[in-house]
Amino acid sequence: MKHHTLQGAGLALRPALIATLKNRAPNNLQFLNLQFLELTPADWIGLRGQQQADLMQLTQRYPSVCLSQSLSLGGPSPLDKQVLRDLRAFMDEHHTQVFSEALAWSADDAPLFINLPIPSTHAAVDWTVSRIAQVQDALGLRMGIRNVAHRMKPMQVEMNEAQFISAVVNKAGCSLHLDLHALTINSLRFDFDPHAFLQALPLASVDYVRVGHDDALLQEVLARCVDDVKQLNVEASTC
Amino acid sequence: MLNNFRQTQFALARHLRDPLNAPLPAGVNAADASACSQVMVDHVSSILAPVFPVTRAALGDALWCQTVRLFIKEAACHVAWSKAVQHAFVMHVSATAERQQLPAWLKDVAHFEWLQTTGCSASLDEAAASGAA
Repeated sequence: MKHHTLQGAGLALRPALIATLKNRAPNNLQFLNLQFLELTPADWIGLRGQQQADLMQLTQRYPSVCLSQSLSLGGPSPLDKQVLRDLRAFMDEHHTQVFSEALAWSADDAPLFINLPIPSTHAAVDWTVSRIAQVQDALGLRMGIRNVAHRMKPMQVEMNEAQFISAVVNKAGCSLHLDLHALTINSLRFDFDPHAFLQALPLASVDYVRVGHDDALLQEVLARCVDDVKQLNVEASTC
Repeated sequence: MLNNFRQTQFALARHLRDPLNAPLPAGVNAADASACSQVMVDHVSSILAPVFPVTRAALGDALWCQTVRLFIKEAACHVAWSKAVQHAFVMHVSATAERQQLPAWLKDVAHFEWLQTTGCSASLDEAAASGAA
């Protein structure tokens, strides 16, 4: 079930892409047949001057998705209230409709600059679900959690990752944002079947899919995953 | 709501910030932890590199990595917004230059590069260009 109004394909906008967009397609993404923008808030919050103005000009024309990995959703420290306030202000300023957060932990008392796997335990499910509720309260919307690429397995394991994701989504009642690139990387790195993983997820809760990739080796696996996902009734995807 | 695994998380975080001195937590693969530490350095470098090209070139790869590792080890940045990370890096280099035995002029170069990105002033940009040449 979809909980937002975005449709079609979107562009993951980075500050470095602004110049290209301005040169080749001023104020117009339609030549790429793109319907929305995906913004990583860490790239944009705090920017001033021309870059900020350029982004504002785009977000006045196109709806946007906030693709965050700054909350350390499963982390050991309290949620950072200033980060939540900054995110809310950013989303208000750009009329962002969708909020997506990495299902990971990424800070102790300060950012670690890496997404680490949350322990796959029942206690960690409850901990993460309670923090999703806090985030949804602070941002005033229903959020999505997103699978991310990992470099290591969780330190404690009572269930597999697909079961962990399902448990969190079911208990929190949030959306699942599916990152096929991350799923593919993890399947190659940790040697599991991405298709079986996909089928084990609560696919009815998926309302956003990321397809972007930058590695030719991944393309074949990714293409097969995309075929799987095409069977879903998902209407917004980004690359 | 209690997080009964938080001590394990803090232990892993301490190790990733300071692999040489903080012990590897039980059950964590050393190669995985090492890969994670490298990802952290690479990620912070990717945030800093566009703003500090002269600082990076002047230090060379090894010293630059050492400086970034100390920045991560001392948790000198409290917000992950790129602009905040870049500012925190300038402050950290300034505060630790002597301890790190960095060249005395380096903190001025880093500060200047930071000003270039924040000032958006033509005169500053021109001055920086001539200064860096």
